[in-house]
Amino acid sequence: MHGDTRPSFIPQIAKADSMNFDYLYTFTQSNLLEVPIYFLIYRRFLTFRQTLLIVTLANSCTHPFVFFGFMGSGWSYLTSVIIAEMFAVGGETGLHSFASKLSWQRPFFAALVANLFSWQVAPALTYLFFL
Amino acid sequence: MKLSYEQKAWLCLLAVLFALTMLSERSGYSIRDLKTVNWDVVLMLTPSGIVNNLLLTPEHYLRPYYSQHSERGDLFGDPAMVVLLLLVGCMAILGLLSFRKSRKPIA
Repeated sequence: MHGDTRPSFIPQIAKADSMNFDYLYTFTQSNLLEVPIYFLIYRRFLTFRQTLLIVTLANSCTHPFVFFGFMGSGWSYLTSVIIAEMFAVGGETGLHSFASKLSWQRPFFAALVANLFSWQVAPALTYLFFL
Repeated sequence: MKLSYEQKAWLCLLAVLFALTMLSERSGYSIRDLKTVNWDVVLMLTPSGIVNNLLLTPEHYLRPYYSQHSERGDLFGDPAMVVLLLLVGCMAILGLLSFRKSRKPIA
């Protein structure tokens, strides 16, 4: 079969075979690396389900800006990654503290550890699995 | 049927994941394009790598892959990317607000 034989009224979104899920994979990988760290630190206050929920929602606020904003900013890689990590830690501290009604210290510590862990491990996983 | 605030937050999460899928498609970002990146440098510039290599001064290694590799998908030149980003952010914040309402104050 050559070309796309589907009727033209099917919207672009329905062409699942041509969808690009690479960014979604990157987001999910980063999220799954961070959730266990957050849960370890929040376990006295939040269930695993609640932790998964607020971590994923907060990450969806920060990760796209980190990924497409800071990393594509034109700064040197080192500058981009350091500013992006600071933004992620700050943003996630605020969002977690707001959503969970915890004081800022615990979310700050959790965000710092989780983001450092993710930054350390995620590039290595991408390299090992895809390149 | 009345949903609890936490259930509403989960619904927001579903919407967020859907929007992220659209963002993923729109961005044109491809992991396999990262093959030509100097991975020695990227892996060196991790937290442990920075501690060990404070004197390294890398240049713009990843920028083309995140923003200029394809003709579309540049955050600074594509309004659709900006709208999708704002959509993701708004729905995520809505979910977090719903979750907050489901929480009792911590003594």
